[in-house]
Amino acid sequence: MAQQPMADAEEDLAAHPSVRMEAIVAALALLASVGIIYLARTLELRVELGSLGPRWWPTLLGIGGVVLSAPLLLLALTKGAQSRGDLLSSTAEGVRRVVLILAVTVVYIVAWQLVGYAPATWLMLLAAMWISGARGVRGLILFPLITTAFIVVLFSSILRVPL
Amino acid sequence: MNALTDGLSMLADAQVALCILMGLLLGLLVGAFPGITATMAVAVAATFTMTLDPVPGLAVLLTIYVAANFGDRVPAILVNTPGTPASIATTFDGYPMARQGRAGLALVLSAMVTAVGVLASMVVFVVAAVPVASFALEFGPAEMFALVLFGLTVMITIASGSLVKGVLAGLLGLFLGTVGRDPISGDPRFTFGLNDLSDGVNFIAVIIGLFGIAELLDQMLTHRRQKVKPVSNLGQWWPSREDYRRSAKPTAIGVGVGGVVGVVPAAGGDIAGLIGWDRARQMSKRKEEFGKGSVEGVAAADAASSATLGGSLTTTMALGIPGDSVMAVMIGSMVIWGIQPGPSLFTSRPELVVVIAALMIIATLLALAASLVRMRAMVKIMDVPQHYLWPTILVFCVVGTYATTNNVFTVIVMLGAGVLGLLMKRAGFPAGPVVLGLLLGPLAEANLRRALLIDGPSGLVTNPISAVLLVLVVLALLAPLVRRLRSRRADRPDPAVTEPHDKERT
Repeated sequence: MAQQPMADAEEDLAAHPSVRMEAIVAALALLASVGIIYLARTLELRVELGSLGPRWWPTLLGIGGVVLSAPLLLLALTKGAQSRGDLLSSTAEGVRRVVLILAVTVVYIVAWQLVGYAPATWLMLLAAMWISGARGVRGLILFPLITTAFIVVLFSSILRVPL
Repeated sequence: MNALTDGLSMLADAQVALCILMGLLLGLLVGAFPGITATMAVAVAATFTMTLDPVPGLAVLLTIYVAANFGDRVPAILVNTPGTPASIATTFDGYPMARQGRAGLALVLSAMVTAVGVLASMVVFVVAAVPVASFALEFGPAEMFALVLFGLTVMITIASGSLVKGVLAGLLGLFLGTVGRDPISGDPRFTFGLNDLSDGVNFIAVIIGLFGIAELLDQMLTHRRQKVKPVSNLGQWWPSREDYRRSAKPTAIGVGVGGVVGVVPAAGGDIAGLIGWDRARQMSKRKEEFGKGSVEGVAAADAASSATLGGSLTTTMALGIPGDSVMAVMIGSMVIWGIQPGPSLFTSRPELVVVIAALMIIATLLALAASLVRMRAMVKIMDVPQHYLWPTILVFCVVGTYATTNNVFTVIVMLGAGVLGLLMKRAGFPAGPVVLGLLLGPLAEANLRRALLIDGPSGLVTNPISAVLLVLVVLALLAPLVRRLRSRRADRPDPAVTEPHDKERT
């Protein structure tokens, strides 16, 4: 089961190696592993089942995480960053798009509970289309309307999923 | 004979026929759009099919699985961009053929060898599934744990650029699998008092998040105006007799490679395609043509990647270990339908072997027929702007995830997994091991604990099957390190070559 590995990006478009990113990620992995060990050891149990009880497996996983992320942090700080040539670099416009689309999605989920599925979805699609670069009546009005109607018919009438 | 007639009678239904057609259309479209992977499509479709009966539901999912293998060659050949990872190797010769005015030939040849690959792999499934399942029925806790560990290790070594990051991703998945109730005592773990987590983290939400939303966000993050326009001059359509003759041997090589790779848990069409292409090149009398528009290259790559399907299905259905990411989703869906993939499946429901094999064969023949129609519209499909695709994918991911539980919390989990998946991708952590760990974690834990309680730690190594599997785990983990050491030695300059030159200088 492989993720979509991309062919090496052209040099000028490839993501740059980053020691800071590698170090932060390794530090977070280490913190999370320690956190898992702590949470596992403090689990409240109805009956103690001995050493192979409910705490054992998550504790083992946490220890494994510590054993691996500590050297990863050390490597990041001493040997430098690994190549990220298989990834395209992000763009400023791209970062803006991602932040906006996530914000819109969160607002959509809240609005769905308040105003109902169809109106919330139509507005969300309108906003998402605009963020993605669509302009004009076809992209901002017609497409969101048709898509929303299609989803409502598909789910409510055909699949009988209450929206 | 009963299983055969029972299975075929289950397919004689108008609803099943409609589901096959729906899956065909979705699979061909999905394969044709780069950025929408078969895993994403099957995961979202799985949410829609939950309200269907198992056979129509399987009809949709399996047909998408097959049809995506046909559709993904289109952008690989016309735009040099694989529609799904399985068509990476197709770009090596498919796109050069298109640049030479032979796009039509590449498309038709690709479709034909893909059909041959899938059909040949179904022979593997029909022949091997029941014996493998019968063998696995003898597995005890130690063997099951070792098998799960092997599957996870293969996934980690294949999917990861960095072995350490891959193992950490696997550990994260295994940890997510502990959320909910302890499989033996029933005690709640890591639910933080939330009822929504008492049944664990929703698998479909995580897979849609990690493979769907994360991919979508990454595309948004890195999108630039496309410089490569699809090749529109399709040229000659049908292969000549010489093309058929030249394709025969590489197709056979591809089928052989795909058949072997397919049964390895977690190894999918992308791996097989690359190995098949390389093997065919090594065994060809026209090595120099590979990578420059060789029909042999296209034949080997596509036959290999498509021939993994049957093996993948065998591993999934007979052992309960997903053969690739699509099969991981399939397992999740089947569990919801009350069908538990694994050794007991074919004993309890032998007609399912017939149903699955028949659906795959029907889907292959229909997808082949659709692919052979000379559709100029396919070029236009690749020109659909991203601002139509992105919001559509997003809204379908949200509503599809919601449909699995009718609970907004599941959508929140999906979004969280999507953001996590994006961060993981940018930091070089693979998502595949997380998904596999989440899916198989409870199975691994329960079996390991039982094995240790019954026989202690020595039971894992004294049991011959589990010992062999654990040795394979160690070898799989060491193999990338050995490869790296070998390539470093190969890169070092040969002192014998430099010495005479140095002597000349002095």
